[in-house]
Amino acid sequence: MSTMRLLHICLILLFSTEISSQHCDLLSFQQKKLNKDSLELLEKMGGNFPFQCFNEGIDFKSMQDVLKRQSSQKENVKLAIQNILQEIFTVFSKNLTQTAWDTISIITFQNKLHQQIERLEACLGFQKEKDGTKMGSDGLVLTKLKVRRYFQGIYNFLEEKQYSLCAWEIIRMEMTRCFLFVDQLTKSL
Amino acid sequence: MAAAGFLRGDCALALVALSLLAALGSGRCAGQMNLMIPQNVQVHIINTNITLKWDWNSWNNFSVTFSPQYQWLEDYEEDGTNWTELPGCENITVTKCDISSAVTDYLCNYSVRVRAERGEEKSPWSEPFIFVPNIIAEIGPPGVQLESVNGMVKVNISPPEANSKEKMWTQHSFSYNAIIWKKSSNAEPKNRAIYPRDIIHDLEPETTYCLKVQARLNSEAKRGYFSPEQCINTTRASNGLPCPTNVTVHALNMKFLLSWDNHYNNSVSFNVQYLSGFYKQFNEDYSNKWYVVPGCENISHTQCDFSDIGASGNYYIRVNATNGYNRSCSSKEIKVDPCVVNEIGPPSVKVNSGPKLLRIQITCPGEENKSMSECYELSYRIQYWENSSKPEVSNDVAQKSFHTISNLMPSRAYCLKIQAFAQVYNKSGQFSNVICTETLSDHMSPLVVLTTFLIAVVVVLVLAVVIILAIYLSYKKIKYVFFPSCKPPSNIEPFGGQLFSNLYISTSEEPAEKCCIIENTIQEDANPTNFKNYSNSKQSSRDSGNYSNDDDTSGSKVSEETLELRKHLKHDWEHN
Repeated sequence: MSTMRLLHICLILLFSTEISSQHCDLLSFQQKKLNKDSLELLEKMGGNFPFQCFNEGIDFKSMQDVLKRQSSQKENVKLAIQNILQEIFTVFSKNLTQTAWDTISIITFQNKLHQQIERLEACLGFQKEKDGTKMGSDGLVLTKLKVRRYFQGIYNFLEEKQYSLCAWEIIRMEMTRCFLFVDQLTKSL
Repeated sequence: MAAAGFLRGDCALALVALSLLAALGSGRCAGQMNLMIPQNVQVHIINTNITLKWDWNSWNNFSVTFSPQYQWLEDYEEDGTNWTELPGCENITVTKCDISSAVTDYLCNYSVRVRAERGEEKSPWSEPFIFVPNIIAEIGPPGVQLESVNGMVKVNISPPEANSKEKMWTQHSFSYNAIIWKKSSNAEPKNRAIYPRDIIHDLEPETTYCLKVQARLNSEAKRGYFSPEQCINTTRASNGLPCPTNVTVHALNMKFLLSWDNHYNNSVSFNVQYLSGFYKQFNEDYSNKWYVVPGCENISHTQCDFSDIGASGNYYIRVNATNGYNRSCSSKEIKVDPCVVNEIGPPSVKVNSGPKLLRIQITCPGEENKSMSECYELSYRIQYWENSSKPEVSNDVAQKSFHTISNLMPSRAYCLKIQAFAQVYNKSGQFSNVICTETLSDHMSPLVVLTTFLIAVVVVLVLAVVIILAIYLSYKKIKYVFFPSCKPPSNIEPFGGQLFSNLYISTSEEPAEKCCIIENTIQEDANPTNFKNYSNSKQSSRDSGNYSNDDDTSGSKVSEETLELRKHLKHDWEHN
């Protein structure tokens, strides 16, 4: 009997440390995996950049420029990643009919993306409730606005080009860069 | 930034104090600047509807108009554009104004201010209110449509700003929360997450339910306004085929099984369908995105292996039954988060014992299944104890599949069991069977070491001797065969000592005995022409059997010799 009780206590002690860090602390493993998978899927869904699109003009700022003065606060990084993923999800939910991309890759990409968005949301929501922090701290606000601003450029670009094949190819390339940037952010998660 | 406006609080207080003094003074000196400053200037934003509001005490100030102004602070800097009148808000008499047409960039800093005017009289400007629309905006109520179907309620939600051209929020970023309650009952309203297109099961038939829905942005902890309450009567379930019930998922080592109850009298077949999870985020109709699970189409048994769908994100599963031409309604949709639903089985364990230690080899559960590593980075929790009357359980954690537990007592029985766990999903696997083994004895160890050492030394020595012998013998053999030391006897030497020294080396010219046949009939006249003929008819033969190196020089030599011999014989014959 005493053995069982001791075992019980040991298990409780072991689990209790995990319960406290449930939602957030282990996100980086999943995020790293998502980054890797997404880069592969972006490559797979459309193959090489088509030759006829090399002359297409690009008029939006790159991600690095937008978020270069990003503070490395952990909280901030999570929010930045969540915001970026959410926007990428929205980008790929737009009119893709002019592309001949591989549908299965797009669906897999969207599904993995959506799953991670939900995880990040749960984590951020959980932390907000725990800490009682609202969207008020300057760093967080600035991050959010900069991400929104960047993606507004992307949406406008697609709309201007009427969701043409070349416009989408450029965006696919840009989203690859975006994930490389997210991967850099993930390292400080 | 937005906070900058609040930082000026002190300044605002000073201004308020000044204006109060001015107001007090106005009683005595009529015609002076005696209008009060509008107070508490604020901006309220719901979706893209932006309203400017301020407070004004009208008891003392009749026929007052207001003219608010705004400034656009580009790039979050303090110095912005010039102050401009807000279109549609010039000389208004009310204390609020819609400024949506002027504020169009929702990600920029704006500043607004108001002053009161009466004829030529103008109050000082109020303290400016600085804001970023997107940050202070609130989420409006979503649109909700209800439909009562087959004892359930179908819900269609349209996002808060579905009909406006300008968008404050990122599309598809909302999650929704519904509050549902039974009308005319005291039951507690239930809170539940709801998707833009959802079906509410578990409702009582022919009962009135009410609900209201709110949109949320979870990552920002923003909660929107509730939609107006709506009520709907549930119907009685139809008389046709009932929906499959009690649908459950069992998953072990990434092998996924779905099972459900068979409560049909007649023979029916079942179809299992799945939907990629992200479609649930959409407000658009996605009913054609449900696909049949491979191998689970028109099956008669109530179980389906859907492991093939894989672990790329979440998905939903549902079952329906068909009976000839009748199709049942679909079962409740089950959300499957593969890595979360899955249970981790026991690992297989091998134990080798040493003195004072146990060497453990752990094989990951479900190793043949690739998707296990898609989800988890497994570690192993080891519980071990001495097999005695009072066992004390110790714990250890192994990160890799080989692990050693040291600092044990020698020659004691130890038992252990191991479970795999995935820290990322806070998941602990099943424990392996208990394995008991005895550590090796410690006492014998010096003797064992010595014996081992001695044996090793002997083996090394024997090996060395054998190798040296082998080298010596082969050296001797080679020397005997290729470079023999013995000399041929002196009587053989003239025949060619060379012959012995290079017995195995082929020579270009093989020596052979030279023979010649001397003919018995010798003609008397020594005619030179006859000699010539004779030499032509000579024959030579060699006992080696090699006839290939016949050449002219040897032939001429022989003929000279024969000529001399002939002269000699001729001389003898004349003499006789």
